[in-house]
Amino acid sequence: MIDIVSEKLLEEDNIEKTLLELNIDKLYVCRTIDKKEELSGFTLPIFEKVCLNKSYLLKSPALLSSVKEKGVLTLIAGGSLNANAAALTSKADASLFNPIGSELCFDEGLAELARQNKKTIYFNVNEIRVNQHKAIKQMQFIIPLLKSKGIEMRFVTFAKKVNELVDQTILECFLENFWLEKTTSARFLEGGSIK
Amino acid sequence: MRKTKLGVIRPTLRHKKRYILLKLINPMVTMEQKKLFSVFTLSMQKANGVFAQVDANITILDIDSKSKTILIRLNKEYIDEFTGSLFFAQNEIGLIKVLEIKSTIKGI
Repeated sequence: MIDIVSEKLLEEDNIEKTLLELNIDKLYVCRTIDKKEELSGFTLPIFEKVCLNKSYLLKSPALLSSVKEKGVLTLIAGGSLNANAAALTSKADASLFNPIGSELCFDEGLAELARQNKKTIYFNVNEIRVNQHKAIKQMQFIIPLLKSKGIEMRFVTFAKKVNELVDQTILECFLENFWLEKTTSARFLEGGSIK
Repeated sequence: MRKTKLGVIRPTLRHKKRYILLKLINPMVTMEQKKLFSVFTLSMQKANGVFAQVDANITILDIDSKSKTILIRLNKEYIDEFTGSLFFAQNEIGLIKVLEIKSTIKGI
């Protein structure tokens, strides 16, 4: 299983053991970037059995030009129509993260853009815990729309604490509520693509 | 009063069961049966409604506080719904891992 977590999670005790218990062997550690100065000084610890990779969550699409590092997963925070559209039209290798907003800000046009630009859309499953009503309602519209267009999706926890991580079996079953079959959601969670 | 014998339920009418073994990785509550049962039933009710919760017939068979594992028996038809509802149960009892789902208790 592949997951993206906040860099704050690495401060927890025995985190590698917990990750291994959940069968997480590849992990993206994400730093949220508000200003371009925050891009410097981000180093990851070395774990024995878990492969850690860097990831940046950009609060604004304008920060894309500041990311010079290669092999880093770059995400653009969604949540408004403009941010979602900017993330999906950008030519850079960046993906849209969490297109859930205070009101629905994703439509068929944006889904078509995502398909044309071969973008992957990342959903934060913990949004359902924090912002339950809006997140479920919007995800119930967006996920089947993306599925019908054959767009890549990923479901990540963006965990800041250990209790925000999720076991893959639980997540697979939970995603059935969004009309995703177990095999499809398992492929998304493993980082595979739709065939 | 005349005693009447209860008839045995025909095998075709019985609910088929599944046994699920859970592990609490980072327990936030004491491993009490009453507390855990209420968390599991409430999260099932929250995710799937009261009728699904009743029909699922969740029964806690064993709690091992040393290894922090819980053995639960439930109706086969609701196994996915129950497993999915554990997403909400995590808020109250901490990180959960599904170790095994088996059709017989011997398999676990």
